[in-house]
Amino acid sequence: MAFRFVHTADIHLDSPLRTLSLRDPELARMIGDATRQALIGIIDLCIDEQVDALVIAGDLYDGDQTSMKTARFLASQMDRLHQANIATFTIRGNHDALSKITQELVLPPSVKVFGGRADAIEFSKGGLDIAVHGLSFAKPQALESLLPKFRPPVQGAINIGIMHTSLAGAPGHDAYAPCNVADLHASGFDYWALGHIHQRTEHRGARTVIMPGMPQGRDINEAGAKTVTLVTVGDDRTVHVEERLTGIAQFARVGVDLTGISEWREAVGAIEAALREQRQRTQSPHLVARLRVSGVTPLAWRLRRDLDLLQAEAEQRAGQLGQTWIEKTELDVHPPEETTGTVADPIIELGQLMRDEVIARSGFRADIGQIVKELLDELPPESRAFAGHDEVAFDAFVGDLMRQGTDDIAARMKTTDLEES
Amino acid sequence: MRIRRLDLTRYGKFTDHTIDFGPATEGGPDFHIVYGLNESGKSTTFAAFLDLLFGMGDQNRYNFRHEYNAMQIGACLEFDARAHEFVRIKKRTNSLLDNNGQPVNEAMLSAALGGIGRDAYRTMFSLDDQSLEDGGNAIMQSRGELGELLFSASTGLAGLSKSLATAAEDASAIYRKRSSSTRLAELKRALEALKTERNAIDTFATAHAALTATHAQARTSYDAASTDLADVRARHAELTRILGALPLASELSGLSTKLATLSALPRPPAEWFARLPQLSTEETRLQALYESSSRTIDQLEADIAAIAVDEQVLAIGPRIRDLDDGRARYRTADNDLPRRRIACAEQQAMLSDILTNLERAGEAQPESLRLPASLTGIIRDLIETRSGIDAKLESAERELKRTQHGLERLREEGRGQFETAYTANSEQLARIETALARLTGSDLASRLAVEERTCSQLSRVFEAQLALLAPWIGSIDALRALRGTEPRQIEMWRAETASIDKRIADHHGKRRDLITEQRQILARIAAFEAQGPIDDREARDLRHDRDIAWQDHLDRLDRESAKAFEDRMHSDDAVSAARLGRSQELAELRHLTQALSTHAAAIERQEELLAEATHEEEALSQKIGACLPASIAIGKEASERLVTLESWTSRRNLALSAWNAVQQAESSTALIRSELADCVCNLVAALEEGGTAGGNALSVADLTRAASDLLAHARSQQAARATYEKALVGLEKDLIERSRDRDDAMVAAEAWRSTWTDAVSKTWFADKAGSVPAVREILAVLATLPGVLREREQMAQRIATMERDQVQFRDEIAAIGAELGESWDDSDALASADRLLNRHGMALGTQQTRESKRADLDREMANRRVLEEALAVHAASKAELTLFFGADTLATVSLYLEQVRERQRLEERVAAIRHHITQSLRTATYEEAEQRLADIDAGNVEREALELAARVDDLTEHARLLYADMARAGDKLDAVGGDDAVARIEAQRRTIFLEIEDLALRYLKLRTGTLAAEQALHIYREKHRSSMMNRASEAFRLITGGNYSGLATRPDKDKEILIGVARDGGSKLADQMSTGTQFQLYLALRLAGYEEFAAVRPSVPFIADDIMESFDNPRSEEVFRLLGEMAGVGQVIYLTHHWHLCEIATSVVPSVKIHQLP
Repeated sequence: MAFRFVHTADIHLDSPLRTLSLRDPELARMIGDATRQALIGIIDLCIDEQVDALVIAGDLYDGDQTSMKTARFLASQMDRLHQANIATFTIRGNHDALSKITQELVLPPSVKVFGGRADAIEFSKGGLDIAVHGLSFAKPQALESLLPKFRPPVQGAINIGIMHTSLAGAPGHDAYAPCNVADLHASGFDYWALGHIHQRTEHRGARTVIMPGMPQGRDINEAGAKTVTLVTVGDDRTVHVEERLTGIAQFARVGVDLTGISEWREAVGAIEAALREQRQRTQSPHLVARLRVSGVTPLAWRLRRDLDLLQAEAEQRAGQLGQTWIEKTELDVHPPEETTGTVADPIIELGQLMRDEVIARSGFRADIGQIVKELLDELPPESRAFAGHDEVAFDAFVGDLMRQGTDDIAARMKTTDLEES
Repeated sequence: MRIRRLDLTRYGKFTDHTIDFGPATEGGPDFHIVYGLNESGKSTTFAAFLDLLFGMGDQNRYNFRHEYNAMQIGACLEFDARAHEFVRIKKRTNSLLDNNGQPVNEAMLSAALGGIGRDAYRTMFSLDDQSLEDGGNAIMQSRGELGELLFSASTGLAGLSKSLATAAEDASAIYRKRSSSTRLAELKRALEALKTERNAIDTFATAHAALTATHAQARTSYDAASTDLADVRARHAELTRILGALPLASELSGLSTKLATLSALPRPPAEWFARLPQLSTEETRLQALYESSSRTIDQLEADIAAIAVDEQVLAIGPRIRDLDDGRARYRTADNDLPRRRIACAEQQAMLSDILTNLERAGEAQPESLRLPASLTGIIRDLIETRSGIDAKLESAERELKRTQHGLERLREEGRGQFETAYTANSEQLARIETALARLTGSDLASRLAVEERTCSQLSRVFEAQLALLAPWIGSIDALRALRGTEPRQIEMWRAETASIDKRIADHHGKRRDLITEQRQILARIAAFEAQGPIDDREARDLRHDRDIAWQDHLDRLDRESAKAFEDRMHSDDAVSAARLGRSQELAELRHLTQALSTHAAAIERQEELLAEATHEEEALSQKIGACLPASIAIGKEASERLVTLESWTSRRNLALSAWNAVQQAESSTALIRSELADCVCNLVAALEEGGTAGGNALSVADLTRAASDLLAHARSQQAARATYEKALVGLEKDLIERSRDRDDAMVAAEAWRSTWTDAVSKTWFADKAGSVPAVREILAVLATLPGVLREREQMAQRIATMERDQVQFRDEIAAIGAELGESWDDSDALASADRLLNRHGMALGTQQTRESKRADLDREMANRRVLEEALAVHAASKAELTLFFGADTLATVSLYLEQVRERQRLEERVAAIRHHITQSLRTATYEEAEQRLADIDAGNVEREALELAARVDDLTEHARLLYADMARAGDKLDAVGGDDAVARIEAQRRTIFLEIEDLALRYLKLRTGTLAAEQALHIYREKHRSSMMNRASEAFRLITGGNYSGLATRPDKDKEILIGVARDGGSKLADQMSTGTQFQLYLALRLAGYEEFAAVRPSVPFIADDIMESFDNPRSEEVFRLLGEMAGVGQVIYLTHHWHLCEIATSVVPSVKIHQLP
């Protein structure tokens, strides 16, 4: 009789999705609670597969979560496992440590939450001795490795360690309990159930070290299929790992190269083809795509000016594909004239003037910076991130803004009065 | 780049149309007008040019005549100092080809166009009414901002300022300071609303903690109250149970006493209670059955003994049963015999009839008359074939006769018809046919008719030509006799005349000029003279007069002479003084005088020359006149005569050539006529040879018809004869065949007769052989004979058999009667037989009854034996019970069993009561309980129980209240719920944050873009203002026909505004000008833009499409002049459907090329 468990982490329950496509009320209705649906999916998986345990390696919810509704929902799902006689092992991650609702959370007795002191639960399952080790750190910061604090592995048992760690550090994630993968492989534990980094990684080596990633991505930076890990420890102590899809909605960047295309209709066709291809590759029920349209095409001006129209057409085609949504369309297109060097078109000359002379002036840059700052003061704090968090990022933003702004206005001027042609 | 040639090979309405602009003229303007009426394809031409340069595009709409895959445009373009041939077809890739059909890289064209795309080309290098109007409006919208105007003039984009304004508007729709109606403000309000909504439904962790604490408190209180209540209730229940157990204990002691009285009874097995009633019932039943069986056996034995059987009859049973058959046959024979005997007699009569028919009445042995079947068959066959053979013979003879007759008749007819008729032989016919074919096969007759008509027509032409020679009149010979003049001679004379005329005109002119000048000189001299005499001659005369007066005075020396001399001297002095004072005039006067004499000489010379030329002309005129016939009226002038001569010569030549034509036509008519006559002769000769004379007298048509008729008649004759001969041969062959048939029939008849005689001779009626019908009838009668004989025989036999059967039956009856010892009345055998059969039947019935009784008896005996066994078994069972209780009958046993059952019931009740008491007192055994009950004071217990009952009620009410508190607290906690309402609101807020971010970015891009564009336009202005302003100013001055002297600028805040400088020096803002002037201003700017473009890079063709619809002629002239200037820089093509514009253009730019569309 094998010992089986599901390993997940970073559920971030009720953490809202960050995508403009939720402006569509229908989509909002369907995937507005995607993290909840993912959790339900995980519990369903545990029950269907009749596993012995669910391991959650931290970050059940966001640090700034304050609603007890979230806690209640979590408890109700844990209770389902309890009813099904499935044990739950969980630790607190940096977000959980921040959260005020952690203390108020009432969980059924089958849920083991490891505390701030290293602990190990030992039990037998079908002739195998199992030891589950866990350690939570009660603060949102952990600057040192937690590994030395764990209890030594139990001799003769299958040792499973649960740890919330940023490992050697990952972009987009706060450093938390840094730790070396090699040390984990050498620690004598059979399976390391990690959490904290949202992208799944299987760290190959002597033992099984899994960072399962989150079960539901929340924005385009958490793109790709999201899964949990189903682990089977065989009677011969071998560890077998499978991935199971949990994401309700999958984010994906979809690139479309329009080089060589000169008709609007064909451009929309190319977008549809790219979407169709991505749709076929996507397993999750919903695909939320960010389009990136690039290439050298005579349509460049028109695309830039009629971006709204392009977005609408892409959305319409996506609608025909079914369960496909466009959150945003980004442009990186250039007209062929620009690439041929010297061009006699005065619009291009004006564009060059804007690029080479106007925006190169420090006064102009300062003016634009001022406009940006004035606007930022008017925005809610949650909407200010686009301008960067420091001076360097702000400068880069202003530079990009000036390029984009001049391209846009050139496109508007270029295509004036041409609609009727 | 310029376009040298545009091939509209297959495009729009055009098929293979080419517009050839030709090479550019060095130094001259490259200016073209394409003229075509409405719908003639001017716009198509322009579209074709753009399609050539940039490809036809997917949705090309010029495919209404030629399919997409057939469309083709070609051109010869000049750039990089050489000509390039291109072909453009409608294809997705490689649509640009060279003149060998090989694909050309588009970059080649793109480079020549300076990288300008289709749209840019259209806006920059083409102009039409609409763009002119839009341009005028744009000037209004820009409020004269110089940078924008210059830029939009260069690009041809009119809506520039509009698009900048739209961008600014779009930006302010997103965000405006202190505005609450912007998108951003709306979204911020939505955020606030959501936040409020969330706070209303959410429970925070802290609030949750308070709720949990309340709930826990309530639960503790409730739990405590519940425990108390349970304790009291338990004690109360215990007491109640004890009270319930007391009456049971007293019942128990009563039961024990009763049980003691029954203790002596034995304990039978339990099943006996059920077995006893069964045994009683069984005993009664078995005895009843046994008695009934014995009675039945006795009855059966008595019955069997009473039955007696007739054994004597049964012994001869088989013989009596046979009598039954015999009786039936006897009865049948009695009925049938009389009828059979009558039938037998009838048969005999029929036989006698037959023999009479055969003429053999009284024949003793009728059987001997029968013939063997083989012989009958042969004779019958012969009779049947006889008629066929006779018929065949008859028909063969008839056919033969008819054929002989037909042959004779045909020969008779043939003799009359063919031996007398004439027929032309085939050679002659062939000749006629050939001759006819030659005549009809040629088209001589029709050609002759045509030629004759031509001839008369030409003659009429000739007559007309001759008449045109009037007033000259004469025959053709006279005309031919007149001398002709060579065209070259005329040309020479014409040249000569022209040169002489020119000389005369020159001389005339010069003389006129000279005379004019002479008169001018004279006038000036006169003018000088009017101011006083200063000329030399006068001075000389005066000096001479003075000298004479002096001489006279010297001679006379008187006062008078002195006076005269003094006068003279004064005059002379005055003149001298005047001449001295007007020495310059004097010099001029001298010069004029000299010129006068020179002029006079020159005039004279001119007159000489004139005379000489006039003379030459006269001589020439005479020479020409000599060439004309005398009757022609001629002018004097050589040129006049020359014209007359030329006209005369051409008319004469026409007349002569008309005559020649007549001659030719007549000769060819004669030729045809002789050929025709030849053919006719041939035919006539052939006909005569064939015997038909008189052909000469017929016309060609009649002759042809006669020959055709003749040929047709001869051919039909030949055909008729051939048919006759064929028929004759056929009939002769028939005759031979018919003779053979008749011979065959006769042989067959003979063979039949010999066979017949032979066959009949073998019969008893050989004497009848001569008559076939007699034999046929004898055979027919004879055929019935055997049937009659056979029937008569059978009938006699049947009668005999019946009579024998009757005798036998009667004998058998008698024999049986003897055996049974009965005597019978022989006369009625049938009645005796009936009696016997009856007696036998009765004996059989009695025997069967006895057998059946015996079988019943056996069965009943067996039954009684079984009953005896069952009675034995029953007795054994009964004994078991009676012995156990020591009773003799089952009824006694039953009483004992009733007592046993009563004892059992009492014991059970005792056990139940004991159990109940043990239970009520919660003790392990009954003994303990008994002890406790014994110890209890029932009164105390009862009192305590009542007290506790009241306490329970109080505690229950208290616990209920506490429970309600706890439930309320629990409900509050539950109301927190695990639903996703808050999560969804958070999701909405997050989306709005993103939307705000998105809008903010959009706003910033728009703001940045518009700011950058404005500044870039400033730079653009600085860069291009000097060159473009000069050009535009000059162009504006020209177009407005001087109403404006040019353009200037004026600073206005951070902008610079364009103003027009009016003729009177006043200035006018662009947006204050009249609409027409705004158009002109825009046009001026556009032209300047084009030149600006062309100044720094190779020019491209500029195309204007009827932009001057609303211009008056002077303005149009000026515009064309401007376009002409532009055409010095690059190729300019003007499309129009107004011819008057072409004329204006030609007058302004004489070298303009006009191309007409079909």
